[in-house]
Amino acid sequence: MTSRTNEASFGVSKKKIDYTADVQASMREFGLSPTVPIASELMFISNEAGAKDISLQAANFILKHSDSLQSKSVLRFANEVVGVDLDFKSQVENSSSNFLKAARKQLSIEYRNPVLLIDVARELTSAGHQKSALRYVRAAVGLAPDSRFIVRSAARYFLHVGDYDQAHDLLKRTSNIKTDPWLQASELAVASIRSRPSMLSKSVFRSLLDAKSVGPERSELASAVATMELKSGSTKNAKQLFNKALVSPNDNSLAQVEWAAERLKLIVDEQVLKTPLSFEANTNNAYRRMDIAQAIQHAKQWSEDEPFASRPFDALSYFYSLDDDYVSALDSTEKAMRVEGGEKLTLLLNKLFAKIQLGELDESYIELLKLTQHPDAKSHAVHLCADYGALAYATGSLDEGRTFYGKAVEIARKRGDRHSEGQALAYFARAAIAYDDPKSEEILERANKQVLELPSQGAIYVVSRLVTTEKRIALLEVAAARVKKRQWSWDAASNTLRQLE
Amino acid sequence: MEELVGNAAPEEMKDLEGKSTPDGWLLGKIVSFPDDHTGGYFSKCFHVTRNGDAAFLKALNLDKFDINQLMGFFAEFQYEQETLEKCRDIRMSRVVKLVESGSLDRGNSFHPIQRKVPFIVFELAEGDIRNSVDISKDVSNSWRFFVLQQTALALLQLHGAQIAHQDIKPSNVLRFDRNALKIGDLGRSTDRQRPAPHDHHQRPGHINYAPFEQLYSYTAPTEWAQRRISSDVFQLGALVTYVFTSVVLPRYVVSKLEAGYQPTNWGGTYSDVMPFLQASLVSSVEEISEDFPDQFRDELVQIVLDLCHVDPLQRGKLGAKDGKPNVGPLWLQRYASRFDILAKKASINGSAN
Repeated sequence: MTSRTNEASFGVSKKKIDYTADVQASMREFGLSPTVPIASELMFISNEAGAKDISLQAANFILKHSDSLQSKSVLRFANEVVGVDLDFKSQVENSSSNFLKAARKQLSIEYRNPVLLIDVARELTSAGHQKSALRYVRAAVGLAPDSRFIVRSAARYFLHVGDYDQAHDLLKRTSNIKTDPWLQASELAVASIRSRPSMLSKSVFRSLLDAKSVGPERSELASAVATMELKSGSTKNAKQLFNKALVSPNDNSLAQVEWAAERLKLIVDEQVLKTPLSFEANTNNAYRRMDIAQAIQHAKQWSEDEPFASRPFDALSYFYSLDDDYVSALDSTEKAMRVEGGEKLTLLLNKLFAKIQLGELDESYIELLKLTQHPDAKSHAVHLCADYGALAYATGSLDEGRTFYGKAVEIARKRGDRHSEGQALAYFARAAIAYDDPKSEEILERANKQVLELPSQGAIYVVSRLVTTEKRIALLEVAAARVKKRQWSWDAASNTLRQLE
Repeated sequence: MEELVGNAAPEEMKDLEGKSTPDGWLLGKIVSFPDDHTGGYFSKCFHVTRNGDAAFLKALNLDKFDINQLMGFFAEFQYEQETLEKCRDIRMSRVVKLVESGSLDRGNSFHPIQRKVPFIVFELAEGDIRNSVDISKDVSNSWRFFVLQQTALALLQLHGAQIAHQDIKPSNVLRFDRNALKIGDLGRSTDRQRPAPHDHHQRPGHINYAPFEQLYSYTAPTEWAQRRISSDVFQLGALVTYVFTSVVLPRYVVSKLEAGYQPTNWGGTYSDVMPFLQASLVSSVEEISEDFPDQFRDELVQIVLDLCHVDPLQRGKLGAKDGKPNVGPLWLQRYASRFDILAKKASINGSAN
């Protein structure tokens, strides 16, 4: 189980290998002396050369002699060539414990295997064993301190466990930091999280801005710089850099583009969304298009790709809530909490909301009281009040429900948290209708009007399911218009199609 | 299987049949050697006889290639002739013996460049080792270890003379009378004292057994011994898995890599892909090791991982003093002794498998 990473998918190899002469030589030998050892040589080389017909013939020859063969490895390979999946690998990899068992066995054979050490750390982190993962991360870095993949993975681990300083130090100390754009992108991102200056030189920054286009190797760096520019208010630079990153994106740069797409009116078209491993970007894109079923599918893939991260599970929980599937929402939140390994208040509040919707009211009330004492309670006042409102409605206290949802909306507005304001309005309306609040029409009408002004597609989605067909269409049209699409016009002078910005 | 046989035009170089070399070797019919230890792509082979002795002759195939291409082949053929002469002159007992070399005159009717055909006469082998280690037959482990020991010793002879073979593969380990084994086909070898015409080739030998770094066009280290001899060491490691399992290890390892890391797709540096290759190598060897004999499994795994190390600078270092790269001519001595001991152990146990 070798990790899948975006670094592997960039660039086009300049090393074209011509297998022709060697495949022909092996074919000639096999034709003159068709024996298992020679068939095996032919099978291996023709398989790598992509000469399917030849590798099939060689593999079939080997399989004909399977009764007398004493090499399971050759038989297994021959079966793979002819398309018989013996499912050996997938069986081993299917469960986490099997993987760890197999990995530890391999490490006992050869401990100098940094990729496997990182894979083990990843698996342990996904299972919530962050501390156990640490020694594997350290061993991997010790063995391959200059490997881009190892250093970036290790930095990600340290970010995950909240040790931002360590993550930054690791990236800064790696020998290729001044030349490798992938490491520079990571360093910039970590520096930004730490609110510390980045090592990125002005000349690199300038070269990105001046470049006519940015190749796949600098796509992630371009989007990282763009993100920083956007956060510091330089929207013009940010837009320019994001557009450059979009030419040859990878999963990370695309995720960053998607994050900024609505704000900067960036066009993320279907072709770009086919970027390998871009599950996060596709999740966000589907959400923006309000295709929640699709968003759930992509988020599931995202969670499988990054089982050590809580964000995909958090996203899943949110999408399930939008679709009123609270059993799945609760399950996803619990997974996010397990991965997070701590008592993060947002996740606790999400869990509480799901439990309220599932009717676990007594338990929820005690839990809610507890959460109001949480050290971060003040900064999550909107969410807390909304959960309070939801619980009040569920217990039949309509006035109280109205009051707390109202408070949630108000606090969000005062704080300028427009996304949460939309969410609170939408769920307020949903609860008012569900629990027959006599003022539900008024509440819904208010939500229907206001969500259109707020940047939450999720809020529009919830409200659109509560209103009449006519109003629903109007809501969905407004939401769809937020997703910028590529437009073309015909230029009569040059007789060509031109892309409109 | 007819469709798999190469389509070389049968009349190429046929005019040489019936001619004699300056030393009196009479050329018989053109033969196709199934055991391709002749570098057959560039040459034609003939059985030759003299006074009841048999040998075989390899002649550069001047009819197959464009005249412009031939100049390069002449230089390579001559290099092989000279290397074999050197091996003969210092009496290398484990390298196939050069009997005669020179050129055959085809007469005036040929283009001047195609007229003189360079040739080499070798002692005649019974075949190569592949059928003797066939995994569909009962083969003793002591024989398999013997093959490895003899190959290591042959490499030691070559390396002692500062020659790197660069194309060690099963078909180039030849069997002679009374199970004597020798290395053949020095067509891709390089002598430290003389630059070879193919020194600039990224992959001098057959791709099947090419070390990983060659597939990724990684040319460093530039130091001769580290670059050239480490290639032989790698191929000896690949031979270990082949004689026990018929698996072509380098291809097996590459096939297990995620597509993005495979040589034809990878756009980064070799040092960046090395950790992934290492992971794939370890898991591949672990998988393949189920076919190793129980008694020797752990030791064989360590041997293969050491000889086929993804980093050319680390190859064969296991057990080396001070952990320093050991690139002297006796680099493989420990392995020759080790295979010898393992052959004896296997022989004492007397088990076929």
